Amino acid sequence: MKKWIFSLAGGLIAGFSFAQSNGTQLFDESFVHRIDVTFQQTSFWDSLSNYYDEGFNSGTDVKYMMGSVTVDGTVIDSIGVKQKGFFSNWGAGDSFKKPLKISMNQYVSSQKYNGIRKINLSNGFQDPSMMRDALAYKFMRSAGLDVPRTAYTKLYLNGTYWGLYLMVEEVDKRALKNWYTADSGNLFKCINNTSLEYQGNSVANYQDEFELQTNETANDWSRLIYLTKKIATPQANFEDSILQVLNIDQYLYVLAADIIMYNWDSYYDHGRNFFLYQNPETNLMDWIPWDYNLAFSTSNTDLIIDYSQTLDGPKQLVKKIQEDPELRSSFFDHVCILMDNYFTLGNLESYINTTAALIRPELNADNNKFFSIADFDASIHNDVNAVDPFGQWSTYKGLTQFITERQSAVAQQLSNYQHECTSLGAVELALESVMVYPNPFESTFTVEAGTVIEQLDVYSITGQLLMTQSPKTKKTSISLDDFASGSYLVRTVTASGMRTIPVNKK
Amino acid sequence: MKQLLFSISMSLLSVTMGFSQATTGSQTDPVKVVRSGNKTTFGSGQQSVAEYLISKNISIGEGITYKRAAFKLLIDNQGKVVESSRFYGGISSEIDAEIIAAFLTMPKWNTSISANEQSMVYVVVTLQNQVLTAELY
Repeated sequence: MKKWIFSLAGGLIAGFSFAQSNGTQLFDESFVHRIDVTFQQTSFWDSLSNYYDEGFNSGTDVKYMMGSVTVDGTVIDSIGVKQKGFFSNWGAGDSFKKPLKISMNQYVSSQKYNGIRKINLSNGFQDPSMMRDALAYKFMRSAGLDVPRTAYTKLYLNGTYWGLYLMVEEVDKRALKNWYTADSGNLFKCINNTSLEYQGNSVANYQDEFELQTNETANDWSRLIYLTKKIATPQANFEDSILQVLNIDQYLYVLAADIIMYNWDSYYDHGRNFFLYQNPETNLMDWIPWDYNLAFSTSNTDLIIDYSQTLDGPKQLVKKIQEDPELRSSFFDHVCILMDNYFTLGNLESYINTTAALIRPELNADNNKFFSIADFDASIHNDVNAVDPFGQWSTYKGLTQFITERQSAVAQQLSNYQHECTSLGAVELALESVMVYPNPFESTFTVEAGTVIEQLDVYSITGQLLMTQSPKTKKTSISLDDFASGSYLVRTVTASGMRTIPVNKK
Repeated sequence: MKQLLFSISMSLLSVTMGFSQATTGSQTDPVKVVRSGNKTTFGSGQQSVAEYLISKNISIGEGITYKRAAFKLLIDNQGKVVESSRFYGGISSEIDAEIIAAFLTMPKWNTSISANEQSMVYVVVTLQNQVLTAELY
């Protein structure tokens, strides 16, 4: 078995190192924020809608409109506001609750709020719980993936309560700085459906599907094109090829998370909603997931995607991974780890309940909400059949019910494929977060928990116990000086439970 | 026995209430419009929808580089498109009408919805430099 198969860390753990990050106040999830936008025009909504229409019809960027904003009491003048989104915008028809973007630096260069230049305001379209985006990111973040932060806000436009929105962190250069020690790489945003098909070496052939968002002057698309070329490698050589260009461990986590959450509006089905970051440290492409308002859906699929049953045709990256015996087995391992440790009620139910209690009053007062407050209440735990503002029925999965049902369904599917999760994947997760830093590390790393670490074990990636300690402190340093470079698993035991975190020794 | 009858009548009441909320038209029409996830698909997906529209010679005039519109389809449990309308945006009234007509004569979709349901699918049609693409939602 190849070493990479269980190299579980692969860039996942950088998400724990938020201590110095920007946006700490803005993305404080413990309260509902307040944003007031003031426009000079009284017909501001017509203008915002017209700008969006123009962009939709012409395929050009949507224009911003100037205003001023007050975020939690702090006034920032000369900011830009525009309607954003695609399906969540036009799909919402004549509703006033369109997704919006606030740009602090649209008119004043380098202007920021709490270090943040852009605030995305998600409208909760097709989500009676208003929580799908936030919960999906919470789940993935807890598993160590680098994903946008979120927090809720009340939005007022020219003094009128416009509704409850979810603020979603922009994936930009600043976010890269939070996630990576090397943030100077090329960031590609998927802007259209893509199968990541190789279309020759001309950059122009890829610009309908991707936008280079950093290092625009250098305009180097070669690595992205190389990725598509490697995806096109015949199946027999696919495994070796793809490992040269894609951070496979990290992608397998994203793929596993997407399928676990039935997030069809992602690459595996719809071919969209992700960023690719060319990590200068590894020269591998890291996959940054985006847009989860349609996750926890009823678009059920087997763990192994049957492309005769999807909205769109085959996605070769997924198909080839799933048809390669070793990659497929590794994919199942990633599913195991997520299902056993992170996509559990133990990890997520408290967040769901706390968030529901936090946002309910503001959603109840929201006259532009898409669903009734009764649907909101019901959808937190149970499936609801709800009618949206356009008269269409849908079954919306209850959040906790979805998690419970997926636990048994995924276990059954893994059993059908005769795949056994390792014992390391079956640990019970502590609710508190445990930080490990730096990660990757040279020889020593620090483990820090919210409560006393009773026991700390280091395992090889195949589950062999290599070291055990009883720190009896909240913070301890571990030296693996004599250990070979590679991946290890660190298991902590605190009064809150156990947690296993993959680490990488350089 | 009384309890059983009560249960049955309550069940019927629940069903009736459900459908009365669901219908957008007459009270006698019990068809429920559903967003049914992957229960309704066409060929190999959106590429197949695009190929079908291309086969109908849908195009925009020279000199126009970009146009886009979202259409809403209702599909019955036999896979037939029973209703087609423009939902958002627009290419031109003439071409939109051609597309709507083309949808209504589409080959059958694959669907597993129930007999009393219609599946609702949005199709975003983009015509860019004479290239037609379709996107399903």
